[in-house]
Amino acid sequence: MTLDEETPFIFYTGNPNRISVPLNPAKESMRYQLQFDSTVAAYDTLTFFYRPVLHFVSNACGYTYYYTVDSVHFTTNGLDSVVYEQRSITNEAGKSNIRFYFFP
Amino acid sequence: MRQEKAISASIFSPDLYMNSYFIKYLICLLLLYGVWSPCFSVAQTRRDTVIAPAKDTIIATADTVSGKKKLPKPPYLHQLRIGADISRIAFNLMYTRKQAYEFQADYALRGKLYIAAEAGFGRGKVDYDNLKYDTDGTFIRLGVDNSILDRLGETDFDMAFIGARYGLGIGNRSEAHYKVSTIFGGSAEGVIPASSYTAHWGEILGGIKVELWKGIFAGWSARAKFLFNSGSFKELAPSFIPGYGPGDKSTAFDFNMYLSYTFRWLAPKSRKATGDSLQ
Repeated sequence: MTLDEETPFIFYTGNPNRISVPLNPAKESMRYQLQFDSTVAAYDTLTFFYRPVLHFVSNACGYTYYYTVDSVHFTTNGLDSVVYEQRSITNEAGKSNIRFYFFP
Repeated sequence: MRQEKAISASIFSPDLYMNSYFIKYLICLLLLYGVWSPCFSVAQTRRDTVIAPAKDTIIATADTVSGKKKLPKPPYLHQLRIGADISRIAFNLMYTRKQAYEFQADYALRGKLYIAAEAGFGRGKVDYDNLKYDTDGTFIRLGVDNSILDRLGETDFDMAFIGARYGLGIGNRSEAHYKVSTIFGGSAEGVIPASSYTAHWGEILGGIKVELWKGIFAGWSARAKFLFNSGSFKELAPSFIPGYGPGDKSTAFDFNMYLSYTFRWLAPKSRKATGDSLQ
């Protein structure tokens, strides 16, 4: 769930091992509250610091934004560590950018 | 017909019968008569005026087969063909966001080679919800066409050809207003500053040009175009580059239909030799 938006944006994922985190191009950081297990009332706060990069797709599709992730700050209630796999975020589906490790 | 008379006279001449040039000429004539006459019936009628000078040349060469004299060159009839692409009228009506006008000229060298040039101008408009801008530009294309048909005489400029071109286009793009929708509501909007552009491309093409009536030619060409500097348009490729096509694609295809008028004149040396008989 987003914490900084006027309307909190809640997203779920069908695949428990993978989540897609939308970023707002109008901002340079976003905070998310993450509950890694719906049966456990433990939450971590993730703050993504990033730079939006305008990218031309085509005349028909116009522009979109790519991002470069500078850092991710997080609490450690259940989250152990974060590994950056690919800081450059493009529109390539299926590519993993950041990996989260939780306490067992 | 004059044509039949001319051919018969040549066949029964012993000197000409031995001449290989004449045999090649006759075969080409027969092949073209059989294959192309249904398509180019108008062009066919002009053979009547072509045979006579060609026969004169053949007889002259037969006399010099055993000697060491240099063969006389056939008369050199210059031709400059100037026309316009009339298919642009239809394209302009069909695609109102891409307006282009195109003109062409070619000059016949000796043999079957032509120096060709095309030039024009146009403008494009992008008017989507998420992107809006205008472009305009001019272009020139230079190259050669090589006819794959044998010429039936000095005044025969009908051609089925293949050719190549180098294209150069320059133009301007207005400010581009863009909008990027987000799932958070609203949209990010901005302006890309106006800029000018230069495009280079190469083309391979093929087509035909046929003389319909006394110097008036009609023909078409189909082209494949390859943009050399597509990488320079990463910021914002012009939606429409006149003479090329979509600037955000490195390969494009096009079709032209030309209506042309020709200017012909004899070289001074040929004029003396023929007494202006070809005009």
